[in-house]
Amino acid sequence: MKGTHLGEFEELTLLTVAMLYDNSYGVAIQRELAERCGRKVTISTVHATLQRLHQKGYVESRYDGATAERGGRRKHLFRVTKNGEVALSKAKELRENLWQAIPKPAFGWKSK
Amino acid sequence: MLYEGISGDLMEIYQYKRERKGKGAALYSLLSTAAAMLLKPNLHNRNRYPRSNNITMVKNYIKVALRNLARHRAFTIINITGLAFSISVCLLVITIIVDLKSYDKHHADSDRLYRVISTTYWKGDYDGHSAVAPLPLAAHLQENFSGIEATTRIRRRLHADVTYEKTLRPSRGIFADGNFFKLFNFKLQAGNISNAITEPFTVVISSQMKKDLFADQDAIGETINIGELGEFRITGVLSPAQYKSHLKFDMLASVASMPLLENDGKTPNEVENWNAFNNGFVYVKLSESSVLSSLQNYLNEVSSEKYDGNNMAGTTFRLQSVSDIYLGEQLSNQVVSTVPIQVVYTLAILAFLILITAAFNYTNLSTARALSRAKEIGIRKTTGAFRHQIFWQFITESIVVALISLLLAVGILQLLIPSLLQLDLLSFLALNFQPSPLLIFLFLLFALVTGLVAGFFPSLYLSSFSAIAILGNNTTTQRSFRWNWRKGLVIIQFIFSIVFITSALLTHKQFSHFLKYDYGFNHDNIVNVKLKDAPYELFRTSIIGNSDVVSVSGSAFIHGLDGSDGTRVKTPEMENTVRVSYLVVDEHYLETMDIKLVAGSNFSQEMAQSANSFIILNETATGALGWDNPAEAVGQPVEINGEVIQIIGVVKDFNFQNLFAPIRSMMLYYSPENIGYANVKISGSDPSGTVAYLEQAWSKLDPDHIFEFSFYEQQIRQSYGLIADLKVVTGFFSILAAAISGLGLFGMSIFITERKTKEIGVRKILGANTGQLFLSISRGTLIILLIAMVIALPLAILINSLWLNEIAYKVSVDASIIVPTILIMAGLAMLAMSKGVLNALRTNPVDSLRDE
Repeated sequence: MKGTHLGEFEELTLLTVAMLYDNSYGVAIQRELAERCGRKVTISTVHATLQRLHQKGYVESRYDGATAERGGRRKHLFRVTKNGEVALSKAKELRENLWQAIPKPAFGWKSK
Repeated sequence: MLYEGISGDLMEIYQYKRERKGKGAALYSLLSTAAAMLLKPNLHNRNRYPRSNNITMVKNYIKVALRNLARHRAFTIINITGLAFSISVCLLVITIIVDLKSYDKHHADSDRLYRVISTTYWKGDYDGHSAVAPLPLAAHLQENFSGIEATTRIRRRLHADVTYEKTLRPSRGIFADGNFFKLFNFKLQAGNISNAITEPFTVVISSQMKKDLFADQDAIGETINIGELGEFRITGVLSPAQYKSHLKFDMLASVASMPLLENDGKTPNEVENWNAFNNGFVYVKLSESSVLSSLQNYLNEVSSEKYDGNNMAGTTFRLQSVSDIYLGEQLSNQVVSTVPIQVVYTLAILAFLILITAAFNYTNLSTARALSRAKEIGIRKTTGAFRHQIFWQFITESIVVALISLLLAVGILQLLIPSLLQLDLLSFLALNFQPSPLLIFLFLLFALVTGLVAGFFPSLYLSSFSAIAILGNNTTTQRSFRWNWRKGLVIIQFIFSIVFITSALLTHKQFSHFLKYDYGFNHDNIVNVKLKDAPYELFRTSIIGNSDVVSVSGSAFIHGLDGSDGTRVKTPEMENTVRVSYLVVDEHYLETMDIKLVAGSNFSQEMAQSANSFIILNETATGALGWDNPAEAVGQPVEINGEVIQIIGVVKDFNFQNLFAPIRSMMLYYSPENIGYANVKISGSDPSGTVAYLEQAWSKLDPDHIFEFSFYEQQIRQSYGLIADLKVVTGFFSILAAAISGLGLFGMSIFITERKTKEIGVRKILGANTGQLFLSISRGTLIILLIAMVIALPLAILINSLWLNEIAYKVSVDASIIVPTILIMAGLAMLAMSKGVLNALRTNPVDSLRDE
């Protein structure tokens, strides 16, 4: 197993999975990523990412909710695991720590 | 392959896009996404092991393959020999195609070079696709169409005896204008290329011609005499490089000379003539930004402007890429004759059939030997090999066989090329077999594909074995040997062989039929001498006294070789004319050629002084002109082009054309001043001595020219060169096909008898005699042969009728073709089976039954 490091796109995907909660599957995730984050990615990228997250143990999955427009195929639904939650909050914590460590003048005169 | 969650997502996206963007766009995106996914292995191989070390595995496959090939030597030799021979034939075809494709690629920007070709009509009648175009079109395009960088004009047929001081050299060349060197990449070894052929009466000659005429002397500025055209000044000598171009010439004279030549009446009016263009060629170089279709549109405008409403209405122009000229569309009036693409197609198909035959051997023998590999497959599967791995293992094995065959094939090719290039059919090839990177790549690719195709079915079959079934008990493998499509493959091989053999026998029969055929005139011991500057009468009288010269006659060309000119003839009463071929002869022709008069009389010398013309018809012509009895025609007048001419005699029909055509209407036309050949009938006691005598007599009359002569019989034989070539080609391919399928049968027979050792032992003990045993072993093969015969013989007749129907005096498929074919095939089958059968018959049943 590769490292459990959470990449930037993985983090976005994982957050989207959490947000979609009970309806988080490939196409829905792809749509949310495009609308909310402005990231237009192909469906195969989404699945590849989900698969990596699965390998790292951050998501679990099940099959449910077949519809006619899916040609009778069930959805591959994902849910964030406990480990995933921990990883997400760690990432958030890390960022907040870093934000807090930035001295005020650093952005003060850079943006003006 | 994609698992449910993904394929469902794909379907959903497809539906979504279909509603918004339409079906096409949705389908495109579906397919491209799906393809992209297949390339991401972890998306669809989710449940498989991570990738293992492939290289080690492939090494193992190769090692196992080589060990197996070494162990089963007989099978290896059979497979590799068959494949090597068939691959070598295919390599030859590849080499030929690559060579032909390389023509006219050496010009700068050759992709922008085009030739204007035409489809002509005359008075509403379609006249055919032709490589020529009117010469003034070049200037017209240059002035009125902006997308052209340069044009050049070429006029063919500059064929003449060139003389320089006392040296004479028959040469062939073309006229071209100053732009020639801008479009085509020909280099000069001497002379200034920019103004080499801009002035009238200037000429560029080939390095070979320079060598022949001037030896080491400097040629630039010298004047040569080109036949009747007059004097030309040499302004350049081509460099001796071999140019692969459809333009082949000894000399290149300036188009600027043509108006002057036309004024003198030495060449027909062509330079400014839009309506007669049998010899002119127009080449254009498009500018970089130019679009082909806009030039085409402009050409359409030009043709309708020039030809609408006159005799040539309907005539159109097209553009042909210069690199497509040499191997390409069949057009009339080429600069030099090009290669009909059909010849290459035919060769490719024949080569492909041979390759299939050899590939079938591999397929058959590999699947037949499945039992010997079954245990190996079982063990591999038990230790965790997937089916696809076994599959690739066997594919690797067949590729190894193909690559070894390739090595052998390249060797065979080296031996093959020199003898094949002697065929007339392939005389267009200046093939020197040099392995270029492209050729090596194509050869390797070809061997890989061959291996892949030959190994595909055996690999699929072998990899399908179930480990439990193989290692557990033998019943399932037993069943596999009743595989029937293997017999199907043998039948197909036999069909190929039979068709090839029948064709070869048929071409041979046709060829000898042509040679043995009685033309109705006697061409034995006749020497045809081409009269150049020697006057016919003088030549005749100078040799007629010799005791070896039986008789001498004169004719304008030689009968029986090819088609002849025709003219329209009618009787005064008739409304429509009849097409009648004619031959200009003198009064000795009938005697020399042994042609029988059936009515009337021969020409006589006094007729030469008469103001009138006289003809002798053949029987067919008198019939066509409306006389029931040849004798009625004698003394009657006929009209030929408005002139009234008297019939003085009728000859018995004889074949005045070659035997592809039936006897048509023909007349002999008396005109001693138009004689081109002397037909010398010799006694035949010392042909070479007589010819030497003739040459001596010739040199007194025409010291400037070489003495050109042919024996009539040889000329006739040569006129069937195409059939002779076909005989060699079909013969070669039938030997190859028969040998390869025989080899395959041989391998199968060894295998079958090995498997039947016990059965044969039991039969022997029960008292079977040799004949019964032989029958029991070879019965299957004989049935296969019978089925193949039933299918192949009608097929062969059908295929051969395609070319036989073009021939008026054709041979038919009868017992003399079919019986030998059956005998050859049966003999081949027996021979192939005999080794295995004899082995089995010789074994002592005690030995074969002892160990159980």
